[in-house]
Amino acid sequence: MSQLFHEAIIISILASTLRIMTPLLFSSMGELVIQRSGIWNMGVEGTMLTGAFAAYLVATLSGSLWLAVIAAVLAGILMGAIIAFMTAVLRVDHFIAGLGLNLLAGGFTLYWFQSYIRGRAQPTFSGFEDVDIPLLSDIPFIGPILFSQRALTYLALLAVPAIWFLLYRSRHGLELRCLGENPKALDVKGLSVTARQFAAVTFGSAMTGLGGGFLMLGFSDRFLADFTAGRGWIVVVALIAGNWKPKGVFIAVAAFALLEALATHLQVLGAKVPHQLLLSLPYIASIGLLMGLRLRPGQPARLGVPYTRE
Amino acid sequence: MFTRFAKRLVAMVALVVAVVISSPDRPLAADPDKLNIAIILSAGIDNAWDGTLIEALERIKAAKPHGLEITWKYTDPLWGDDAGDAMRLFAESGEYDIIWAHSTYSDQVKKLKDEFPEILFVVVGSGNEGFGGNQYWVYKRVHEPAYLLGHIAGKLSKSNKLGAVGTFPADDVNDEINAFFAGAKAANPKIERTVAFIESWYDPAKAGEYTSAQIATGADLIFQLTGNFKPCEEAKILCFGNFQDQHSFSPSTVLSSAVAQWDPDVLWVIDAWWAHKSEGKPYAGNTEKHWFSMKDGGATIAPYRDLEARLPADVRAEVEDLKAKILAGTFEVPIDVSDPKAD
Repeated sequence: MSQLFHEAIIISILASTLRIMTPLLFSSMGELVIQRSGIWNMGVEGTMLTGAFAAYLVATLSGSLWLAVIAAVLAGILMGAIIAFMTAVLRVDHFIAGLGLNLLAGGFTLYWFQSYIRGRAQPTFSGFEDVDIPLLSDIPFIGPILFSQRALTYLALLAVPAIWFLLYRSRHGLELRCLGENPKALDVKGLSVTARQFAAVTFGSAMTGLGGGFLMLGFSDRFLADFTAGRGWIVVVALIAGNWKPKGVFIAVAAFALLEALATHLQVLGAKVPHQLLLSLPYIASIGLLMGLRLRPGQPARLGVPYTRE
Repeated sequence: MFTRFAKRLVAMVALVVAVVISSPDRPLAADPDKLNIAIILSAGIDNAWDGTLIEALERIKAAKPHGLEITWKYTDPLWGDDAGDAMRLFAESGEYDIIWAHSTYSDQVKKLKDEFPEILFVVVGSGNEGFGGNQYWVYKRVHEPAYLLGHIAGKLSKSNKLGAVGTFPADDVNDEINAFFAGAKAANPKIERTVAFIESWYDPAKAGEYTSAQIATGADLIFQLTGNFKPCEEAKILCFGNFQDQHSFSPSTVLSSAVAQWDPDVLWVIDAWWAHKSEGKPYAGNTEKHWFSMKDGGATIAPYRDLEARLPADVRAEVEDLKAKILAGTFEVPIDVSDPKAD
């Protein structure tokens, strides 16, 4: 246990935290854009799963990891288009649409996967390696944590200020926030609510798909059923815990990832605590956080309410 | 004259028929020439647990035991009531002779076994209950090859620290991990253990993080039961695979694997079904765990393939010697199913 405070272990815990954060950051920033536009998308898990599967398919067929990344993004866009069509155009209940999409994604990816590998050994691929940033990765302590990560991890960290800028410093961001707070204001100005929500959901889902794609290309070498293992739900929790603000969501994701990395290392170091308890630590913290956040001042006023002109 | 002859002939034929019918050695019916198996999978054929069963069935199909033409149909992963419903559909269709439920399904079999007494039900692995009768309980232990892998790891480790990343701490997972460390400690008493369970059958992100954490604590060889060899590749260390020969997943790191072979288990079940169908022997399923050891072909150690050069000749010879002793029955690998812990 005392080993926990050894430098090598602390470096490992923090580097692990960044790796765990990466897929969650992509997906949560995407989901933030979607929810700020008023659509309560429950289909994060299914979108991540489809992104992961598309990445697997293209990585094994083409051998190119970057083509696989593009495939994950396109899969996210496709899933986003379905969600957007159901919620923004058909005005179906957001929860039902999202949950339906998760079921569809679970069944569809498994069916396609089984058809793809039938009668042969499962094809595998070699995923992304860590990229050492010259000079910076040699800095003691900080170097191996921050500057020796997979390329997409840097992109995920950049996504946070980028989404903040989009939401708070651009005209699109202003319109987007308005969609979630008072869509009628846009409508009376002759600006299409449906088109803007459609764009927000497809853009956000592209990022969610990328999160699933990273989970595949950064951690695995093959696909299996229900590959995302509930991470989409963590994203939904992070949005609420982060009070629908980029900084808050970033902190929520980082806290979750740090707890998971800590739990991992504590178990490996033989902590005298049941490992099941350690494993559930991030989830217990999430539930505790939600219970503590009964007031949700940041929640968009029209979140989850289909917009209709009266 | 002709009528009398005809009457005698009929009487003789009747007598012969009566003798044949009353003969105790007469087969009850014509010997079956086809065997149709329904398989309930728990994780999918791409998973080592289920995939190795299908591989064994392919081999047995080619070998044609009792001259049987063997066919099968398997489901997608099913659990709980869904698995029970699938079993009922298979049973009611009347097309299947054996329903092989390849994991913890004795709760579902309990509801069906008496209703379909002619069908032989199979449940597999830990967490099941042995009812006997027409339920056979197949168990799989690969602790013997795991012990051999441990011996290799103990000899090769420079840090004297080894890691094992497991799925769930179950009886038939613990036995492997404990045997691995027992083998390692027998080969090198200085060995320290680090153990982790990810509490999932497959979650590559978690598996990867646990493996990386073990490497960070100094482990320089890993017994990987969760199928993610990427951290071993990144750290350029050797790993060991589990349940199937996993060398192809990571040719630069997987030195060998503890391999499960279901062939003797499947043949054991087929023989029981055959004896019932052709000789009228009642089903007599086991109520206690029943497994085939390495000696009986139930498990083996995978070849080293192109990593053989990484293994010093003397270690290779020691492993061969141990393996020979296990196969000859002169050395028994102890079964320890307690929860493995880090030192």
